[in-house]
Amino acid sequence: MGLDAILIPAILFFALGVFAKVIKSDLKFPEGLSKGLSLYLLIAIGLKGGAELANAELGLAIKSIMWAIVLGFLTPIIGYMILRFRDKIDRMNAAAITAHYGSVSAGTFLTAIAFLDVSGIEYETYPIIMMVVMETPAIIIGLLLAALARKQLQQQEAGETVATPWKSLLHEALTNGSVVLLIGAMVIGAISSPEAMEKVYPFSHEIFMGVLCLFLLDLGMEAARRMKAFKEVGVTLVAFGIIMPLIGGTIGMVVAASFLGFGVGGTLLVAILGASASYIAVPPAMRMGVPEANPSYYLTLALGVTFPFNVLVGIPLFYNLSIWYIG
Amino acid sequence: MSCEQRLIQIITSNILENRVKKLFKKLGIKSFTSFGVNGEGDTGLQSGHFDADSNVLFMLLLSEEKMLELVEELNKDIQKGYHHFVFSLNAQMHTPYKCKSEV
Repeated sequence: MGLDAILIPAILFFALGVFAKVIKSDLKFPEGLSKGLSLYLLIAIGLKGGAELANAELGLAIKSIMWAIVLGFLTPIIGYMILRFRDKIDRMNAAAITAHYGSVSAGTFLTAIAFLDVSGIEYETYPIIMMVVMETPAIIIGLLLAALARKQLQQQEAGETVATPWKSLLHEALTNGSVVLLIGAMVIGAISSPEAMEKVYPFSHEIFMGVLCLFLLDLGMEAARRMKAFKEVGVTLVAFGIIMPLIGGTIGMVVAASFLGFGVGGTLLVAILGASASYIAVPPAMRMGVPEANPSYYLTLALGVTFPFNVLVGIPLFYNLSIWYIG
Repeated sequence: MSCEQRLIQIITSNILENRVKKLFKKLGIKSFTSFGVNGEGDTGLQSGHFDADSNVLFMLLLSEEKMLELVEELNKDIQKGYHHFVFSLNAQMHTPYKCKSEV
């Protein structure tokens, strides 16, 4: 599978969005549209996933959730160690950045689903639950790493520091709009009768790809805007934004294929969960809980480096790696 | 009837909106105007695309004394690392009842 792997409308629209910004086109989305599109996409994927999970194996679902928690805790710790290697990045920025890499990007996940659908490859639906579960552990790790760093700094220099508002941050992480919508749609999809689900089929299936194209066109423009900040972010962090998805994706691939026994489709989806970086749920938590970190770093990395890398390179790469690994 | 007041403007992240409102409450400030704004600065591009990259602008008219109290509280936050952009201007208040009930 070569260049044709990325020649699907959704990915091409993403490239169009980047191109539009590069040539300084005045192409612009009406305010609020992208938020509306992401709401639709979460509902559609939740309904789809829920309907199929109704017939899923409970044991494998629980195992998937447990592995999702492990991935959510493990990935940010690895990321933190890489960023802190030789004191390259200060503790606070390292904690905030790495939390984004333990969490997931629904946009990348949906693009991987589009890739599998267009390629006619079957996939397990357990990764959808894994996506929901993986939103939160990384936030906890990021806040813990920052709290530890703060304690060390406090010992070095006296002064007023931030008290981590654990209760409100965890409440926000667990009741985050996208988590509530995705879980809600999955429950609706799981408990609704198949006949009733057929009525919403055009909404949840037929227009899905078209809406995803619009969403990715918009994200392409946003990613291109973020790319302007590369200079400020620096070579080390840009390199991290490419290396970390390769590490996270490989771990995800091994977990899915070796421990969960997924096929190529499901393995690719878990690899993408491991490779992606959150740009919706984690930034607010870090902004509030780790104010010492520079938001420009983590937003530029998640949106300007890792998201385009995963869409254009990561998805076809992990697809081929999954085929090779599963054999 | 008019009176001298200070117009204080605070630009901060949407995420910190409630944190700033809690400061107002703590200081007994009941009136303010706020609206969503975009821009670019120390914390990078604030395009308004997601909650984390959207800003809010607060406008308040306060007495000099109250303004200083608020600035002191905001500075405590700024020292902790929270990004608030704060500035003030002299203002002439022309709404009579606002002069009487000046906070």
